Amino acid sequence: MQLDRSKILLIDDNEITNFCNKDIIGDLNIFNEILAFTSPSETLDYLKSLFENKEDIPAVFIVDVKMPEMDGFELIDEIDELFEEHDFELMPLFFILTTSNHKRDYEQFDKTPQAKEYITKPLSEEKLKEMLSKFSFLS
Amino acid sequence: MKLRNKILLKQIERLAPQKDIEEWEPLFHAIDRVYEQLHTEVRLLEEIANKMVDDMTDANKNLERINESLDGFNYHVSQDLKSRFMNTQSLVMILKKYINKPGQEDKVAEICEKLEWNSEKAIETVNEFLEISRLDYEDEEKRVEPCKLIDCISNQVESINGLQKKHIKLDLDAFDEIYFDKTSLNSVLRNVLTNAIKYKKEDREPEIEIKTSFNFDHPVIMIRDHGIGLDTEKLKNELFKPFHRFKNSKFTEGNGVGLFLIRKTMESGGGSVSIYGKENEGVTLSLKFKKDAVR
Repeated sequence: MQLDRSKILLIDDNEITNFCNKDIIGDLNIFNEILAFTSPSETLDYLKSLFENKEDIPAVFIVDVKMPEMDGFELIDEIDELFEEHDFELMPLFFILTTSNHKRDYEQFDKTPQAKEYITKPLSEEKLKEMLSKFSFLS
Repeated sequence: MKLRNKILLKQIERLAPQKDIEEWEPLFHAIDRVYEQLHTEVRLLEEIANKMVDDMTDANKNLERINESLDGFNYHVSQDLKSRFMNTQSLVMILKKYINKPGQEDKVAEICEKLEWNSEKAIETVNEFLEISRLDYEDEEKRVEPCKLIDCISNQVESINGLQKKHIKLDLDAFDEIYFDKTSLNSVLRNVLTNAIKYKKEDREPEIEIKTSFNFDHPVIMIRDHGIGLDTEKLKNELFKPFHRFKNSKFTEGNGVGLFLIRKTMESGGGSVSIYGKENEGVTLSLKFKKDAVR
């Protein structure tokens, strides 16, 4: 199993945010598949199914912070654990996408090395391009 | 001998043994009066002090109560509305892209629907927060009046999306009328029933039981849904706090103020609320009223 650089996964409990972000990301023509989930548990279930079917893992995750069940940082921890359980040693890029510029969230972000970028909403084509070019997704 | 202060009497006897004690009588009376007066004044002061302490405690409690909802209140309101408006912005941006393109009519319709839903949600948010402010700031006179339960429930059935009469099983044998502020009762019922719809099982019709009973002479309205439930044991310290959300729902998203509002409204009318539930087994809410709420 590998990281699939043509797949991106969005997690935000607000369905409209996902709808808009899907559209914005679609316009970039970088990813073939844009997946969106509205809850951490759905996301974890999906990842588990990938391991079961030995399918590749999306290379980019865009994660909201404030969600019921668990926040975005907790979700990243859970995903980390899941990867460990399956001896999956590659690490996707996690981008935090949030409305908040609360100090507490920045601190959490600093403590989460898997989270590569902190983006404040709304997501825009420019912001996305800037982030992705850092990780050579744009040729 | 009328002097009540025995110690004083002993002193006088010691200092003036040869004098006839009878001659001291008027003085004794005077001292007695002063003593009594002082005593009354001390008692009065004590009373005032106690009253002040009580008032301070009340004031503190009041502040605590306001703080409880103000803690993060501004933060949550602005975050919530900010994200709604940002969504509006993004949706309009996307709409502009599709609007004059042939063959994109469905997409345009979908975006308009989302815009509509989004603004409905924003209004809902504002209303909920206004309701909280009203509870805290307006010490408005509650108008206790007899409320026919069947009427209040029917009102909700009419106004809550997705709720129908057939979803509710009623058992109003114990009492069918309650003395409470009607606006408050409607607000509580709306929040309880909206929750029942929000957190129903995905592939099932909502199933709600409403039953009246008495618990140690207190009238109780029990509302049980058979929805996705939640572990109330595990979450008990968090459940009635504002802005906490525990479950994701396919059907709608909330601000996490429903249970908080129910609790506040019940308490403002001298009642209380308790909740019991398990994962996958639905939730039972018990609304307990003052003893004289059923007459």
